[in-house]
Amino acid sequence: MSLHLFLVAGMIICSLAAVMAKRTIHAAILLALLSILLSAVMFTANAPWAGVFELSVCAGLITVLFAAAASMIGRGESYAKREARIFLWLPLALLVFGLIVWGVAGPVFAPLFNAVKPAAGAGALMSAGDIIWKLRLPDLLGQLCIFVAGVLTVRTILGEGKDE
Amino acid sequence: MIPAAYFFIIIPLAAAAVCAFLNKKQAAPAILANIVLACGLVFGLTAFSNNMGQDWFYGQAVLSSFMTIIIYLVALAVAFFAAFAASTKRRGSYFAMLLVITAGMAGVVNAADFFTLYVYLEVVSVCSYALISFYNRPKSTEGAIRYFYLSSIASAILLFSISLLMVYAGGTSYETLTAKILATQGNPAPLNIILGIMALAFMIKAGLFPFHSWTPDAYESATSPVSALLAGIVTKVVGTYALMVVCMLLSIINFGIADNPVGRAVMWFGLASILFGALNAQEQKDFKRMLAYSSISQMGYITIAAALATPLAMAGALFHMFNHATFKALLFFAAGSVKRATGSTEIDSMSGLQAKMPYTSLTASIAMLSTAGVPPFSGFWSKLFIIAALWQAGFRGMAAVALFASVLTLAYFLKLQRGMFFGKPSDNIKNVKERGAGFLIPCFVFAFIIIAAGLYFPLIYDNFLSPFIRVLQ
Repeated sequence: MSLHLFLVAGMIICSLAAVMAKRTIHAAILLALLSILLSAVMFTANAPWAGVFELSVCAGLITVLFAAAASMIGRGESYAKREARIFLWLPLALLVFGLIVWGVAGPVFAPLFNAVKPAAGAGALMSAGDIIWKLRLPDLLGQLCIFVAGVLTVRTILGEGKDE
Repeated sequence: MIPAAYFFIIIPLAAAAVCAFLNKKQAAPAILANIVLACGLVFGLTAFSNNMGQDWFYGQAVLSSFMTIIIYLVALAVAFFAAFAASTKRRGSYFAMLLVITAGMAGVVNAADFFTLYVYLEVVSVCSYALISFYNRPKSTEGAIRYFYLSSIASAILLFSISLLMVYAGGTSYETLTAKILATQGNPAPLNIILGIMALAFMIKAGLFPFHSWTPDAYESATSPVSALLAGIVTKVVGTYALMVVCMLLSIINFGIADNPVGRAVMWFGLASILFGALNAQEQKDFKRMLAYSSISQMGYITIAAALATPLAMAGALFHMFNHATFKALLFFAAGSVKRATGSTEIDSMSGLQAKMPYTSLTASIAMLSTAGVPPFSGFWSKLFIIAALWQAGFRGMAAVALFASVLTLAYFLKLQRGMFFGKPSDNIKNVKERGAGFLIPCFVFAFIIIAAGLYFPLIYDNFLSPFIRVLQ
């Protein structure tokens, strides 16, 4: 349980930091970290399939972030600063939301959360390693392709794109 | 994924990593990309002959091998053309992108699982986005952003449908789904809904009407090799090929998809694209923009045949996919040559180019006639297959509309020919000269393929289409 709490806390911190990061590349790295933590939560909850899929999807999400960043190019620094100011309120908003959930929704849904527990041995028929290396190897190669494509895209659009 | 398929992904990926470090070199990235793609094409032809006997998942191995050949053929032609036409700046990144997108497309067509297909679709989407906006021209960046937004929506829809499949069928592999479909013949509604959602995502990716808004801007503003790659093969792989896989599954639920509501809906989307593309192409004043609308129309033909899903229609769809890859790539190469020679692709801004650029004009004419389905060119046979399949299945109205749109295609291409290539040379092209061999060789190769595939169609039928039809039957 403490491991879960630790992972979930890490996810919240990563998500906040990703949104508030000033450099796109930091945001992308934090988003990747968030996905890895979420995958870890799924693995520890005996759901290796979901964990592997989450790892794969995270690559897609990062590309969307690249695209969003690229779409901001040309709107000027003032636009980016104005946008960034809005996100300064985000931790406070998250805190208020958390308190409401804790105080109101928590007691209501507690019986439901207590009733639903992972079945013993569910998803444990194959280890995460077996799923990744034996069943989802083509996906792993695809993720490598996305990684190379992402690096090239960032290099093209954000790094060297101003030479013409 | 069959083990041989890894070759088509790993080798270009490794070569891309090398290319990325060769930005300061002019010739090295182009030579490396061309060698890798040529080797891939040769290996693809070998793999096709090895796969002909296999029939796991309903002919998918044959389909994958055939698509791999088309991908490598078009990618090689594009890389060759780009070696002469691409800007001298950042050539390493440019050719690296071409190699990664080729690896991504090979992954899509060789995937045996919808989740794997999704991962490689994302590879292709990222590379397409970067290639369209490669030189940071405002219009190309706008086209790229529009493409990415629509593509992201399609990806989200696809991911949603994959998660539904996972819950409903317990897996996402084609084999698992086939088994699930055969086991639930009595109640096909849930799978129809899930595959319908999936088909919607692929139609968006294919740029079919009404999800076409990104195609004219992207094709017009991207460099000609990139436009040739996008129109020639990318939209086919991420859209219509994936749609063919869905339609194959739908046809297991209800063979002769005429009675399947999802298949019928996809057919209507295809028909609307045929008409919309053909009618809008008439109005265009720019060569590349006209080709973009023409592509929407031709994608409609492939979609309508794929959704009909009879063996004849599937063979027609597959052959039209091959034909469209060759003639549309050739036309974009011609547009690139014209742009490089005259500085414009505006149809009304020049006339009589035939006198100055005879070879470009000749090869473009061959491609235009093939697109319109004029015999004996290859486009005639694929359109004949599609229209005959529609007629045979009882969709006579649709067959008539498809035939009418073919006449429209001939009309707008004749308008283009008369405006740009024929007539007395205008004053502004006085100093224009034919482009060099680097620009012309891919055009001549594709023109040769169009003529040869038309004249020797029985050979193509026996060796490429017949194995596919046999497996489907």
